[in-house]
Amino acid sequence: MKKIRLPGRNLSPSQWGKLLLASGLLLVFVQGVLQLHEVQNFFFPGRYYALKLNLIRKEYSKIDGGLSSLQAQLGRLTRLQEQQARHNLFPLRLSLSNSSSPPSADGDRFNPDSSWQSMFHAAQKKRVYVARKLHYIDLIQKAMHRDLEAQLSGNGSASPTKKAGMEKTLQQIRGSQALGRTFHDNLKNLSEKLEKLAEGGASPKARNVPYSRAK
Amino acid sequence: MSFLQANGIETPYLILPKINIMAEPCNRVYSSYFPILLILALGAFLLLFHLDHRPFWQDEAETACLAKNVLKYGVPLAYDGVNMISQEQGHEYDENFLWRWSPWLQIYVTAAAFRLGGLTTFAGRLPFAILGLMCIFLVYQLVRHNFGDRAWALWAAALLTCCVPFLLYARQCRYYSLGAFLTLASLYAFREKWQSKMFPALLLCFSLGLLFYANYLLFLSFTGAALLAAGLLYSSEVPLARSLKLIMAVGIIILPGLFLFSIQQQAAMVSLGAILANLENYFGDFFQFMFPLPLGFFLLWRWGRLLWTRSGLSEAPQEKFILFLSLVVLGNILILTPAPQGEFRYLVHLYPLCAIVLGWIVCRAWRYQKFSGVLLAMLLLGTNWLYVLPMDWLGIISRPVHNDPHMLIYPNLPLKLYISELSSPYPDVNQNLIRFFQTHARPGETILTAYGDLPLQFYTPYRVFGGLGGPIVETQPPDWLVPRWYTRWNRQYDLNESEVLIRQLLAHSTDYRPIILPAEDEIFGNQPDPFFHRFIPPIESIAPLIVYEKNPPTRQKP
Repeated sequence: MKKIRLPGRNLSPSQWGKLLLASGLLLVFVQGVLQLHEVQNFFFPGRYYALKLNLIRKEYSKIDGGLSSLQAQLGRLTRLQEQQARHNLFPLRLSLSNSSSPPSADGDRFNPDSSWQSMFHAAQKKRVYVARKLHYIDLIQKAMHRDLEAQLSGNGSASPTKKAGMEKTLQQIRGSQALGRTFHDNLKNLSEKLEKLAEGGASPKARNVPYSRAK
Repeated sequence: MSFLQANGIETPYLILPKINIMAEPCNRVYSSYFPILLILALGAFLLLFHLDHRPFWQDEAETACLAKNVLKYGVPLAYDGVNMISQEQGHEYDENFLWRWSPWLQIYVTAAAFRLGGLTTFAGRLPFAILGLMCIFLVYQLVRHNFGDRAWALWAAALLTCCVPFLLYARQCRYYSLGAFLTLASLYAFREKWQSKMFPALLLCFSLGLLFYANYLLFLSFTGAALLAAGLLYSSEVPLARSLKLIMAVGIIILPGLFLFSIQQQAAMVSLGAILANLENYFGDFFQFMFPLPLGFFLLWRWGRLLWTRSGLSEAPQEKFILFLSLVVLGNILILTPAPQGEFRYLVHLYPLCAIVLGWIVCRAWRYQKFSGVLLAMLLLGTNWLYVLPMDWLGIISRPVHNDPHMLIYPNLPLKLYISELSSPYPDVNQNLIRFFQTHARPGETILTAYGDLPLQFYTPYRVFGGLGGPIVETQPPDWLVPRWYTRWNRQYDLNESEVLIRQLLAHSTDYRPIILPAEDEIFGNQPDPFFHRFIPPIESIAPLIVYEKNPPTRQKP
């Protein structure tokens, strides 16, 4: 029986290199064409929402991670505050004056107050990061919901399959919005704790709460 | 060894000596310069067409407002008797309101343009756009003059001309193209005989000194990286005595600036903790918008193999220069990482350097295999696919949450988007606010805004405050409030004073009535950062622009 010989066996390393280079570039070219928004919209009309929801799911996992790390940071800050209180050291409070720079001067790391401030600053940063993402997603989902509902009500002649697809996407958005609300509540809770820590256990200082739910 | 023909001389490398143009027949000169003239014409169109299609956004307006004050007072003052210019809680000026935060060169360039062309958006952006065009020519000239490789020079110039992020930055009334031009000028001088001749030495000296006055972060990162790379690769061409004289001369040029600008205050913000995050941001942005990751791997593989096998680097001057540029770019990014803000704009002066490297790779690909060369050139000139897709496949692409498929963070045809923006510009958030207040506000009225205060200060005659400025001292409630949906925090991650005050005024008062404008409340406006830039309106309108007007009975008479 005659053996089938692959053409690659006759190729020199240089020819292999050329083949790989050309095929790699062609792959990028074809993928690029297929991923253009206009092309995607033409071939897969409903895919935009699915992609957007997928992106939101990814962002939610980042938010979840952010909230967990914020919780851990709060735990460390609380422990540090309690430790300092036990040893009757000076009370650890955050200076809310308008200093020119964030409390991150690395030379001051060994000062306990400075280290507490650095940790507090990191927690604030995390809180802002999560709040920003949540706020974005909240608005994006509202816009998607609004647009889809408008399409559904104004598209009486659409095929049942298309309508069912839209309904399904709407349900997914609602589910995602519900998950978002849980994150919001969690963030609100953690934000209040952080504010209490800033005040050394006192009530939160209103001016510093960077949390505001979009109405 | 294969020999090439260059100007009739056999040479192992593709070096064409500096050509005497005058000796060539006229038609040959014409045909020799025709392609670059064509590229420059395209560059001029892309850089200058509808230069004022959108108003200045916040950062540009900062430069423009300071330039306006230069025309009035001779020096950049942050206060003109009506409005205060600040984006850093009022830390940018001294007790006499003298601007001491960022260097003044861009401010004086803008002031000169305003003096000649009037206080217009076009005049403010024009000198920087022209500098962008000069960068394209300088890229061509640097390669052609030193290596005689016309194809490489043309490809490098064409790649820079079609690089949309570079075009966006070069059309800003800001230091970006100035920084790129001075960087290129210093490289040009470095490749000349600065060791023995006066003119190249002076050019090197002044381009570096002026780079400091364009932006000292660029100066520190570029000079540091270039010194290291030159020491490593061109040590034999760097005579100690002459180099020390040069360093001293540059030092003398920048000395006043070291005292004038609050460098020490800003240096206090340098944080070792930020290094990792900045490193991630800079390299992420670099591969997403400046230099495709696969081509980075190619260079790494090529030079890494030489290092591992200890076979030594090719002595070809072209490749040595490419390695030099690559080391400069790498060093630049590494030096920038401890700086407090990891912003892509601090890398813009490296675009011409990347274009030279990319041009060289395209030529190599063409010489290796014509089909791949053409395909690579097409991908680099017309698309961002080679930048975005490999990063997407590796799952390391970075996109803001509020994104849109018509941004450069997605696979796109950047030039098509860019030309759509220029040919049919939509009124951005700043344009809408400016128009609104020009038609609705009355003389003497006050506007408190959470962001975008500086464009309003430049284009309208009203007292505008808030934004990212410092504490607000107002005895009377403002006549207009402009809250923005995108919340802004200061460097301590507290809400900005303007944000707090607007919330308080709206929460505890029924004195204001909302006016919903039929426009989108975008985050920035004409922000050039490809991570945020919008060429066309987003698919989803997520938040309308809302302005609050004080009710007439409680409104103070101007």
